[in-house]
Amino acid sequence: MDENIIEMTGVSFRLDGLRILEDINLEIKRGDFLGIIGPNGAGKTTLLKIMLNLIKPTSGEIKLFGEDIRRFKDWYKIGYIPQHALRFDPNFPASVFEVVSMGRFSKKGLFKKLGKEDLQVINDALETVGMNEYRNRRIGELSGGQQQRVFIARALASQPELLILDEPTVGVDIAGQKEFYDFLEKLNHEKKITLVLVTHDIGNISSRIGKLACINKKMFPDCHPEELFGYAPEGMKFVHHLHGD
Amino acid sequence: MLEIFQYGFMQRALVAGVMIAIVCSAIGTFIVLKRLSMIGDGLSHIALGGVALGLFLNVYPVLSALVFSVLSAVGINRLRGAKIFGDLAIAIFFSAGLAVAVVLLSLARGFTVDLFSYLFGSILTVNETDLEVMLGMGIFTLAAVVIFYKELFYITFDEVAAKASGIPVEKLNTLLVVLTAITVVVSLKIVGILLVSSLLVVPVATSLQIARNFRETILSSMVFAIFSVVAGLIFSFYFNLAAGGAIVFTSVITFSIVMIYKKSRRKVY
Repeated sequence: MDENIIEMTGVSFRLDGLRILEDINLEIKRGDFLGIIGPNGAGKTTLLKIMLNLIKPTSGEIKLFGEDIRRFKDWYKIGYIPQHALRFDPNFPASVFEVVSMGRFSKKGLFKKLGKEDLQVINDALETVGMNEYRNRRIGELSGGQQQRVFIARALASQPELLILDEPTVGVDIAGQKEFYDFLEKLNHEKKITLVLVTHDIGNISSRIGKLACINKKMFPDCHPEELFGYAPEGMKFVHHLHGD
Repeated sequence: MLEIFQYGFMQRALVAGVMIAIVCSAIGTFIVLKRLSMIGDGLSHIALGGVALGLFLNVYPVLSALVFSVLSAVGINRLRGAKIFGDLAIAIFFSAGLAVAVVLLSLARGFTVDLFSYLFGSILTVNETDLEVMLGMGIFTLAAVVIFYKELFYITFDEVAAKASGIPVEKLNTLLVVLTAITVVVSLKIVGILLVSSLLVVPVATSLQIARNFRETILSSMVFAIFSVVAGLIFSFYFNLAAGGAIVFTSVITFSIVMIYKKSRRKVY
């Protein structure tokens, strides 16, 4: 399966004359598990937003599932877990079930109500992340890690082929992170979901990630992050190992 | 039968009042949670400009208020999109509406009594035509909320994720402010321009104290709003009070009671 899920060619983005991203070339193939790593302000979130058509690049070509992004319609194929999915008002009156059900809305389309099969998919998504027993709880009452799982369930409820995660392990402890990467690996292997994960913290990058790319305005594929950023915190060794060094 | 139901104007006020309660809570839930509580205030003062214009030109004031506020709602939303801070956009239109009203008021002194009845609400002036127009606009608004419920819920909770999943966020935001404008106009004659926004906000604030999910928030704020409207109208009838004031006063009291009840429960457990 060598189909390109995302293809970016010469993508640049400028804001008020500032170069945020320059000449990004990127190919993500079906079944990939790609980690994109870069320091704060490197343009990681901007890159993801461009992939999701939330902002338009200054120049360059983007194809999603082989289709030009301007004509792409099947957004339900892409699950997006924003940075600080935890940014919402903790007093917002939405139950876990209601939040996960949002994942079905786009697939369902306007004017249509959720049916039995939608409920089944929502239940499955809740089971997958182990949050079914919390379904009637208010989202704001849960811990950060639990909320993160609910937002992943929401993304899974659209039955995506690609999952995009922005800084997913911020605020999750070490044990939680290990569990989280186990979970992502399972999604990647068993459900064949292509994964793209962005982080600024090299310590958070797990050996489970199949491919690693660095970004700092420009893209450095197959990089060694410590060379680029001038530091090598704990946990970097397995990155070397990963690349056969 | 209770004396209160024997009068035609009370029957109309009760029917219109219940409709207003339902529509205000349905729309209010979305705008409160989107942190747009001030938009009700802004749109009602814009509606005042529309009413003044209608009286001045001898057009049905509810109609001119409707046109005025719906166009302004679209304008506010445009300005918000153009990176002008949300509150500021509301303030600009708010000022324009009020200015129009004041200028027209000084040009023609004859209609001040009529204008006052819109400012404070006046159930005595609600005739059959008004009632039909109110019911029509109310049913339209409710139908739109039911049809777009899931999308409006999504953009209220998380605009970015909604946009990323392909939901037309800008169009739905426009729809929401237009529906808010209609809601304000529906409520004018009963509650009055000065108090419309309270009815959009206070029952929702009450239900937020107790509701555990979104659906419950909408439904329980409807219950609180209907209670306030009916109780307020009854008080206003027997004690000869202004209906709008009595309604909003009841809803604020209800809010206080629910909040105290919730606080006291929290202490026990």
